[in-house]
Amino acid sequence: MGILADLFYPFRRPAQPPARPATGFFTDTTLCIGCKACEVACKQWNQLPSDGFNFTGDSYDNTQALSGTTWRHVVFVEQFPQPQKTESGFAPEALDIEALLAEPPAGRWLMMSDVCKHCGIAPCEIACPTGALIVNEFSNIYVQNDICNGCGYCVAACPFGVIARSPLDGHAHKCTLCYDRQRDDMPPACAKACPTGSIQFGPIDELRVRAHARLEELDARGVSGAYLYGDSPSASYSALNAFFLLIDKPDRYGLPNDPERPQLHLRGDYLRAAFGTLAALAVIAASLMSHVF
Amino acid sequence: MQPRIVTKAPPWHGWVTADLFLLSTASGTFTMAAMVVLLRPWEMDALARAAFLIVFPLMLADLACLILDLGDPARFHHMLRTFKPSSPMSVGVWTISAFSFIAFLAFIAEILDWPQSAIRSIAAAGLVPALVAGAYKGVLFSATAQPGWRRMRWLGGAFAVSSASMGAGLMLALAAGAGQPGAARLFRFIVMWLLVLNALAVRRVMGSTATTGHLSDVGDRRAALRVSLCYTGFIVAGLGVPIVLCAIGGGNSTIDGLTAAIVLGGGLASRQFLVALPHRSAPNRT
Amino acid sequence: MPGLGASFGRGAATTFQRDLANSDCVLIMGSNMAEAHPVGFRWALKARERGARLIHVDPRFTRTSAMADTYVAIRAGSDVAFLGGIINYLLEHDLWFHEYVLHFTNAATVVAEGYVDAEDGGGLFAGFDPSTGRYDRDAGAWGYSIAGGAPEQDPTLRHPRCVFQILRRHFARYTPQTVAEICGCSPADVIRVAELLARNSGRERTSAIVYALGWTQHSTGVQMIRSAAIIQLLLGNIGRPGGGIMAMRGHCSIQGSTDLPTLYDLLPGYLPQPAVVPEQATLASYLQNGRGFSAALNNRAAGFWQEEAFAGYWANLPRFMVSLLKAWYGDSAARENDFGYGWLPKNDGDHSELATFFRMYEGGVRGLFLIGQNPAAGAPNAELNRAALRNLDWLVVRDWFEHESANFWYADPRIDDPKKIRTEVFFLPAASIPEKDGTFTNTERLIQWHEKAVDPPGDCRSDAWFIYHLGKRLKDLYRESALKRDEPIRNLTWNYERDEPERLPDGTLSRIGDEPDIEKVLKEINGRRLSDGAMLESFAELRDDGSTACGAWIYCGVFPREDFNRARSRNPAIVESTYPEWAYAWPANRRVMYNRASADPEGRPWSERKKLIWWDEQQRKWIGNDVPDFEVAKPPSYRPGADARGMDAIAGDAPFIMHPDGRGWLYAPSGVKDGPLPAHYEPRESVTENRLYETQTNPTLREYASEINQLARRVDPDFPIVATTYRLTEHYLSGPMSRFNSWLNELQPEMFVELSPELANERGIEHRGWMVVATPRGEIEARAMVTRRIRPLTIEGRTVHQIGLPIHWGYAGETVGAIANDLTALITDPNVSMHEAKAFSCKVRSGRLARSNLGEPVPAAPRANRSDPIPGTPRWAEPEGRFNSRGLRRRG
Ligand code: SF4
Ligand code: SF4
Repeated sequence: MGILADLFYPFRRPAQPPARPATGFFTDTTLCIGCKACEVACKQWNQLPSDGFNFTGDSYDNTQALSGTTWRHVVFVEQFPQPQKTESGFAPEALDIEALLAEPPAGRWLMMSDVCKHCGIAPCEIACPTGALIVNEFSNIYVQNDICNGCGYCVAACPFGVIARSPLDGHAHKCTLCYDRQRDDMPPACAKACPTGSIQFGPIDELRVRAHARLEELDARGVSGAYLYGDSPSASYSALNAFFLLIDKPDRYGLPNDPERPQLHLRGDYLRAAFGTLAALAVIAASLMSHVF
Repeated sequence: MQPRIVTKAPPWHGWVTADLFLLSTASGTFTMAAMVVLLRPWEMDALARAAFLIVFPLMLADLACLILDLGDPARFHHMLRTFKPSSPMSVGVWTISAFSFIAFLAFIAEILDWPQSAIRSIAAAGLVPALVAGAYKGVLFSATAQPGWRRMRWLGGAFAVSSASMGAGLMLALAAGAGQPGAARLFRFIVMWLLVLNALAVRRVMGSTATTGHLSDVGDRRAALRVSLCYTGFIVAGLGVPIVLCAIGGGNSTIDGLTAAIVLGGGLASRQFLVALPHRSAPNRT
Repeated sequence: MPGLGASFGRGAATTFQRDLANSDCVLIMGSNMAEAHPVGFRWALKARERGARLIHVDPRFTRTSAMADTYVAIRAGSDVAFLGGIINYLLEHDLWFHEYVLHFTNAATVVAEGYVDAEDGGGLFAGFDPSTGRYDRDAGAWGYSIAGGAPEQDPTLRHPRCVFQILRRHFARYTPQTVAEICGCSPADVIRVAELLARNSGRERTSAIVYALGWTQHSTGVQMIRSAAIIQLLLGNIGRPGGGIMAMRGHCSIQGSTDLPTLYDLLPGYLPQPAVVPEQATLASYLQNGRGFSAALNNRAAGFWQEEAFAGYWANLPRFMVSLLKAWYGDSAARENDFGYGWLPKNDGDHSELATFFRMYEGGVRGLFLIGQNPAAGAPNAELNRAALRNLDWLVVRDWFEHESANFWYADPRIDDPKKIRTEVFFLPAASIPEKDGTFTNTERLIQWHEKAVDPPGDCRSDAWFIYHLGKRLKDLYRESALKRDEPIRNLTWNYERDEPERLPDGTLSRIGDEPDIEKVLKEINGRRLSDGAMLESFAELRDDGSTACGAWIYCGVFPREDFNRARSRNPAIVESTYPEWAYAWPANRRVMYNRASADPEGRPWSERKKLIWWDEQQRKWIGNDVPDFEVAKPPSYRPGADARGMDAIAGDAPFIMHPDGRGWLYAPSGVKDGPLPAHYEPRESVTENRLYETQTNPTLREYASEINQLARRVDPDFPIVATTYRLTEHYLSGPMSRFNSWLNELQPEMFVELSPELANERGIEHRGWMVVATPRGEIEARAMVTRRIRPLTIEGRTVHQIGLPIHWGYAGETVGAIANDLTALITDPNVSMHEAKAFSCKVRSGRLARSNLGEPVPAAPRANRSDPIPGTPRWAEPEGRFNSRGLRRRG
């Protein structure tokens, strides 16, 4: 009985909920203070276990990466120049106060709360052979925990190294964008916990408008090098529904500089495979039909 | 500074290597047998027959590997919920299902000694699934974000040729073993030309991954060198040597056996190399 | 907090955190706000986003520095020098706010003849008695010069003894160059910070200063705060939106525990605890002498203007005190028996925490209740504290987990044989915050109610439950006693029984039947009129005739009606710059204290941009966006008559109503025990001589010299490295609440020491490798975190290294690690008996200790129960992450 039920379970097709406005995250790294409240809020809401206690020495980042049991991860990047010998012979009269005040700080410590990008066209979802990964009614990429059988193809497909198979149950897991909370009209736990507004949640159109406004604001304040990552589609990748405001190159934060949709060449790959097949077939057929043998 | 690799290597290890090997061998062998049955039934009936008897057990073993490799093997049938051409794995699952079924039919047919016409129909029906099964894995790998794999535009083609050559290799061994010099000569010829094709395909695959332009995919310069060496090894030892053996080893069944062993062993080794590639490349970020 | 108290009148942050968003410049110093107060830090960030400059001055580059526009690295313990440099720059470059300073501060007041400043005394102020190591402010003539019954004024600021001139001379030697050499920064850094503050202050702009334990935990901590107060008064930033000094408190509700104190020398509402001295034998004499200015009374004329008993708000002391006694002793308190004044315990010495533990160590304490505290890892010289605990007969620990102070007798790795420890330890599990009702009073004096959400598990009970039932049992034991000495217990009002059984938010009955009614406690604190039992709405209603009862006058108004708990208000609506309906801020729901100073002497806002309250001539009262911290109907033009008393003695242009002269004190004639002006002294353990004065260290600091508390010599070459302790966001205090939580432990799993690559190179210490840190008190081993965030400083031409030690580890918990406080010393400052964990000297080497003393971690909470279904929860509604190997989440 039980076995039979298990057998038929995945084939049921319950009615789909009606679509709702697409939602996402806008993570503004210039506001992140690296408090990791998001990491903890995520684990607490979702009751995820800890990943073990490993002192990495990699700045204050001891969880290192997103995993099947870490769905928010705060990246720390220390950027400090070799200190120079302080100039001697201080002459207060010669001091240019204006220049003094405009002097930028000597180093910086970047922090970014990383998360599943909820890609507009999600390679993991496309790759998933069971249909466990779906685009839900909020246009978020969601793993149906009861469907996934742990084939691992999504892991291979994700260009951001987000989704992972947990050794605990053998299934793939990642940020659900707090699907359960959203259905009850609550913001995701991380966005709720973030004290500074670095993580912003909302309808994706609104977020994009807000992000552009923010960019202008930063520009006006003289923050150089700020840009949006994943805000709009590139030649090789779709827009991200969880996008970021960065102030250094993406790979400094552990993001690919030019993400590429793995299925970009799929049709060609199929054709080249067919070509190879036909070539082999031709060799075989020609040999078999030849009268030399 | 090289951009750091951020992708996670998929949790694929030994079971997947075994699956790649078994599936290639099975599909290649079936292809060879089916082609023989369809094109030269008069001559090598017994060989084809032996091949059909081997293919199904190979497929059984392969299915076992496929299932065991899942995170949750009890849910293997969830694969059959959907059919997604966009997912080579989904395509593959359906292909393998069809192919396994036909391999089973062929197996039964040989055991129950079904009429020749039935076997011919089974062979004809199984040819397409067998060919797809032999080739799709390459596409499955190349349509990922993994360092190395994602650049291998010709991997599907390479898999197709490699599967065929492994099948031909097995047939050569069978022919040599069964003391059929005529058939052996034929398969030696096929193996040789398939290997030549194979070398071309590997060259293409290699060209797209091990060049300095794509260093980022395999880590640093040394890793790239290692990868290049591996490729060269495969081409020289795995393909070049058996080609030479085929060319010179006329009539010697030991050499034929050695050839087949190298072809199959090379297939296994190259598949292991392939599976391990992202694990080697991705710097301890799992 | 005498630093703020002496400067402005009340020992609390002058503003609220949200107000930081209104600032044009925020100087964060002695605080790692982003890490220790991340939620409050959002307002500092808001200010930055609105264009304000964020400055962080700190020995380490922290997550706060990462957010700041300007960061200055200084040597730990050199803060007074740095701030002195700013004061010097402001004065020398005439950057101070003239009108504000002239009217609202005591700049023009002339100091008594005979006063000798540290400038002329080699670092000592007049009145120092080397035999006791204390100052006598009367002998030192710290008071004002009195002319015609009032302090002498010189509005021209030219009088050589006027505060302004004293200030100028005092800080003359704090030039940017000198200061930079002390702090290890560049002179340009001092100037940059001073300029930024000055440019962002004045009529149109305001700057705020934020500090925390990074200032208080020094032997000169109070003077660091005083320095900040002087800067803010000079720049005119007190009492104005976006200005002020924000004191970030170290623990949750620590403000509350000084308001209704767990301190030995204060009664609720900052009333002084009576002492065992003849002058305080009766209520009447206490009321005259209580606030500790007894000596001045001998010379009434001179004492008058500093004497709170006469002028300023403290003239109301009798009302506060009598109402407190009525709250505590109820009907038993009557005029005939001094309202039960005799029943109050009288103070007979230093019973501060550190002093008590030292006595305990010496065998002078037999039993201890330890509620929510972990001295075995969290107090300075932790080994001394553990030795003290080992000396007890009995110890009751109430906490969530069995932390270091509860398991020291068997888990401390330095213990060889638990049998030899005679302390009997009782561990009582405590309820956590969501498991009990109560209030937090946060750093901005905001009293916020928190509701109980669920019953605590098992035998866990709230602390209130414990104290309440302890009290009930004690009263039972003494019920029959006729002894006089038992009257304090017998007469205590103790009636917090619930009228109705307790219900949880979901409507079900609580499993625990006998939790006291916390609202009743808050009502008692708020106070009632005894004639009709009506709740009091304001402390103005308090009487000294026994007709009102009030548990803490400053909280009066938090419960103005029987059914209206203002601490529970949750209306976030923002009115201009404040949010008056969110909880309740004492006093009287004022958000910005001394806000009379937001208007000019004539009562007009200094500027439209920075207006807060102002005098409305039509209505003849003060109006605006905050509750005026002033008598509402007192016009700006009001001038007191010669014999005015109490609030009547405060002029209409004197915003600091708690001070007898109504002014902010640039110079503190009283209230600070180590000098009326801040002077830079080196930390007790320093790597350099005091460059400014002959006096090396704070002359009044107290050393608890003993075998177990050894101190380094003056500029000890054996201990050449500066060490400072700090917190990480990921853990809390010494870790009793966080090191039992895997989610926090995985974020910071191991004790480490932060050091610069230069020091690491010099000592052969490897990043992530082990290193040993030693002080005369002890040695610890920890991982090395080599980072450029720590930089070597150049002090007097030589390189001085600093290291940072997080304080979060111990030998209990899921993660264990060395105790930073095994290194710190027990020395205390004279004002608040605060230790000096933020600056001491040490030496380092690579490697490990011969005998590791990290301890054994307790296993992380088992994951087995993850598969247990949650009661009353359908599987599909279970948290997404509750997956396990048995495929729990298979059914949708
Ligand atoms: S980031 Fe990765 S896991 Fe997330 S939606 Fe995109 S492909 Fe999927
Ligand atoms: S909660 Fe917000 S500020 Fe804190 S680490 Fe996460 S994103 Fe950064």
